[in-house]
Amino acid sequence: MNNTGSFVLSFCGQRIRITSNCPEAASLIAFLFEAHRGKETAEEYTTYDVVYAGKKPILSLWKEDKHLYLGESPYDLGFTLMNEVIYQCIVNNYEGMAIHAAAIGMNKTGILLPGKSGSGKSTLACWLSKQNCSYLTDELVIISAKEYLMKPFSRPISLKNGSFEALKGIIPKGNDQHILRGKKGIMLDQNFENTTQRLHSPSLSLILFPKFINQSPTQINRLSAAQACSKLLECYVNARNLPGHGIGPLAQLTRDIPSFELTYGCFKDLKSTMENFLDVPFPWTNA
Amino acid sequence: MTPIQDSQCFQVNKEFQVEKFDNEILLYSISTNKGVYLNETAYLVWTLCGKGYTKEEIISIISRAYPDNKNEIPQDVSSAIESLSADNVLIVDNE
Repeated sequence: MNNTGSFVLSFCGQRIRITSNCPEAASLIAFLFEAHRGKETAEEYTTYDVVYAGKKPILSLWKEDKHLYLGESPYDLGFTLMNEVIYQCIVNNYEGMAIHAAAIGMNKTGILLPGKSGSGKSTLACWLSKQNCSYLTDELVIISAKEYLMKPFSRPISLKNGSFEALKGIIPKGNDQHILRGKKGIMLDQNFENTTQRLHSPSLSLILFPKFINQSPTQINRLSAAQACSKLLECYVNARNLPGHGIGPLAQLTRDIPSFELTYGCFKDLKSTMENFLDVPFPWTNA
Repeated sequence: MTPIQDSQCFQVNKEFQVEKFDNEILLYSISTNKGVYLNETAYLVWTLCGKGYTKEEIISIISRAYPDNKNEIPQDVSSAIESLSADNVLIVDNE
């Protein structure tokens, strides 16, 4: 292949190379992974190839000789590539506790928002990032067992069509370089207008399990350590890599860090509830 | 779900391991990455099932230990056994 670009992604000791054959492909890769651009080294990498072909163009994604995507949608290719990269970041990761979670920063500490797909963590992270919180990730956090430092896998927020109504006024309309649109959702670069100073490895101070139920009133309920640990297990994506399945450090984390379940259905009363809960006033927002 | 008979015995699924918290227990399965949270009653039920007691015997033991709650205990024990069976933590002992 006649490559014009090579992007090395580096995250928590994992390195992945993504090649591109044209500036448009390189631009897509940068949109997705710029936060984790790493330096070229002599080591071997898992490699993905993004190929744009023809005038239309037709897009394809390859992992060595395996075809992962063929079509016309940069969003769909980006979504597939993102899932591949995240898997690679987890599968051989022995560095800490990898949690499927969103995360935000506030008052120089981190708040973890763990949950399965569809729980509302990306929607909540997007909304909180407009309330003067620092957006960290909507997908993956590696937490060290010592000091509970959070290493977020930063990426554009991935929002499904179902959350657009709730986020009316926050999601920009039209197309620009900061949004990638597809039939199933969008990816939004949260950091281009988020002027809050980004925290890179904040210390975890709070765990908040989001649960979105449309139009339901906002409720925040304290969880015991055992309850929080049980819920976190469902999001513990590298447990198999760790000694004793990583249960010891996870259990200790839930003993040390307070955990709550947040049920919300719209942002109308969420703002006042969160302000009281976090004891921090939020700036005005249209949402 | 088939109603649980009073004389029924259960085995504990040995796939589940125990992590203890203050007044609570978390059972977790390494193979499925699944956690099951047990409050105090459920933990007692699980422990007594593991020792081979029937549902009827478990109700009797817990009722003697908590006489003030004896009216609620039969339903609590039944609910705990059903829930733990549904989570595959308890397996019907057919022996």
